[in-house]
Amino acid sequence: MVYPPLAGTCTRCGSALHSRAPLSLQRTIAWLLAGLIAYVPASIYPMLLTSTLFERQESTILGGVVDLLHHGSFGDAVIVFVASVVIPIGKFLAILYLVRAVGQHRALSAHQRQLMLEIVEFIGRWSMIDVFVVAILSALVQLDSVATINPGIAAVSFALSVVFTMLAAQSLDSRLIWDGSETGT
Amino acid sequence: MTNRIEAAEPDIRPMRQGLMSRISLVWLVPVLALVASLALAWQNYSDRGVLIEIGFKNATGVEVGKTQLRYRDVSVGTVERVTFSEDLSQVIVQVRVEKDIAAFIDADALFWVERPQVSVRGVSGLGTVLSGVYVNGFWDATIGEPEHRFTGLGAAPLVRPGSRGISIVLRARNGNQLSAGAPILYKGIRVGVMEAPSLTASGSDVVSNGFIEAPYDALVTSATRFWDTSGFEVSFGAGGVKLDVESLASLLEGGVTFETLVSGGGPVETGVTFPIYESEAAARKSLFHDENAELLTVATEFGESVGGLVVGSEVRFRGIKVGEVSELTMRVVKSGAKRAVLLRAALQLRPGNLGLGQDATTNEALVLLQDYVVQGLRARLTSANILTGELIVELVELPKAKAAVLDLSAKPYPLVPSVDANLSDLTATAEGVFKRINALKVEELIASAIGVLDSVNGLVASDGVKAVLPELTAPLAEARVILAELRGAGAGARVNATRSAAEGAASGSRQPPQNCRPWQSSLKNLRSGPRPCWQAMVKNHGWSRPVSTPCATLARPPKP
Repeated sequence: MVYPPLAGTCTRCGSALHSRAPLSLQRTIAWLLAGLIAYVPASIYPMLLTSTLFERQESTILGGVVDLLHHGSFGDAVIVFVASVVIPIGKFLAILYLVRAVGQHRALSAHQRQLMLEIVEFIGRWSMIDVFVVAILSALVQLDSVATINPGIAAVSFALSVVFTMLAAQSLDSRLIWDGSETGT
Repeated sequence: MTNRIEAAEPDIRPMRQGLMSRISLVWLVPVLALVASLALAWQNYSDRGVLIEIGFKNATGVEVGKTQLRYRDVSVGTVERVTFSEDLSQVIVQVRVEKDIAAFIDADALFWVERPQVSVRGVSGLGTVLSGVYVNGFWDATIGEPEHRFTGLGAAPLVRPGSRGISIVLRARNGNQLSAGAPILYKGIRVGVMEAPSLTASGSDVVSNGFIEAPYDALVTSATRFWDTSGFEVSFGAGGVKLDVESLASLLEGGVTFETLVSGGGPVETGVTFPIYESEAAARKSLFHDENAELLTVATEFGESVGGLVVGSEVRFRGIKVGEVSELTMRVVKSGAKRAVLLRAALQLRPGNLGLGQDATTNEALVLLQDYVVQGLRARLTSANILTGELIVELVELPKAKAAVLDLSAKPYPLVPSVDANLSDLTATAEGVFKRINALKVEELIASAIGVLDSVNGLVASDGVKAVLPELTAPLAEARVILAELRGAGAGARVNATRSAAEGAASGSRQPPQNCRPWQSSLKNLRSGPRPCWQAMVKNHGWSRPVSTPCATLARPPKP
């Protein structure tokens, strides 16, 4: 809270005080764009480089999902698909929607949009599951020529994409959601 | 809280209008991300490598995206596509080769599919059993005109391009001992390899390219001789039986070995041709005459059989080989009303071996031979080996022989007069000996000997003999007693006295005196004493039969 009242600057640190986070929308959009860009190589390039005695395999995210489906692991395929495709893309869409909806009347009320932002922020910290899996696998499976798993460039891109999306969600000043809303306060 | 905010209206001022304050620095992040992504994509694209096409007869085990192209066992590319050539005669394997390596792949590059291979030389490509096949490539380290279309080899090349050494051509009479990959040995060490043999254009010889690796290539000089070591060699001679096996590999797939047998050979150039001799002995022999020296061909005719003389038989002069028989023909001649067949042997003589030096010409040799013939040189068949009946032609000097000259006008070759060998006598004698040995009735002799031995065995083992033996002792004892009695009674002396008396009496008058009678009768008893005893024995024990049977057998003459 602003102290003392009516002061334009913080008496403790001297930084300027703003009623709304400055350039919040711009920063959100910039982070979102960065996240989107990072997501492209994450889906194109291989996530895992698996070399076993017999063969060497590079699997992308979607390729992995297809492989899992082929092997009949329907549940695993759904988990991977949801965690690596649905959720990131859902977050992008959600943030985009929230940015667009600032100061406008939409089907979703300000309450619902606030909830949406909170959900996006909450999910953000759990979106690294893919990266964790890759990190753990590559740390564990280093059996030289018998079997080796190495992270691909997509793992880095995916992690960056998650980080950028989280930053985008955080950059969005939630007060903007309520601006122009009659239900204010 | 809210009350305080409501109460104190904050001092709200519009933000300063500045470029930096209106555009967030965060925009740098997506720009950087975009640049990085594009750079990554560009790098990926530019590093994609060069696509080359290799045509193979078949592409067993080649898999798209998996099969690698390897150079010195390092992966330098991956198979991207497998298609067929337009006429379906070849499988085209498209390989994406790493960019920095692709520059070296020029026209001399070789490609083949590495597969597991088991041969006499060992097992190769074992790793491909598990990992699958890979395309092996080999090229030298010079950057040449880039090439994108290649024809793959069916098998790994025996000689890798660019390896240092010397290429030679090996020529042989037949290809039995030559096979692709057969080793070239030097003192038993593998120093080179032979490639697949091929026939010469005329079809008379088989040639094979051989490659001797550095540093062993220095061992090959113009005085080097190659000989065949394939299979094994059994030689039978004065030293007994000798078995020669060079190595298991060469036993099974052939091979040649070489050695520089004399010093003084000069260096040879790549592509020089060497003949392959049949054996080390032949190779050594060849040293003493130049293969290319001119040969003097003369002929000689024999009236007798030349069985045992073959093309290639030696011609010796004073025990030294001077040439060999090159052909054997027959010629019909008329001697009066009769027709006779003469056997003509063409002899190839090496002037150098006749004592004229290595540079002697055939004409010089012919003149020399003429002189020799006048002095009594004749051709004669001689047995080289009594057991095999092998014959050689010997040039002998018989000064007492009927005068003759070298017939220079004879066609097709000058004719050297010959003398009959005394071979026939030897043959006749040997034949006689063998005939007599053959006529021996060995089987019958053995059969009857076996019969005799069987009978003797039967006799000795028969119960009769066993029973008789103890009983024999009784009459013997009796006889001993009688003898003792006689001795004790001084019978001998008395008999003698009686005899002398009787003789005296007889000489006096033919009538014996009366008092002689009792002595006479006792003498008769003594003489006939043991006989009844023997007769009883024979009658009682019936042992005359076993004895009589072998006796009869022995007495009978052997069956014809």
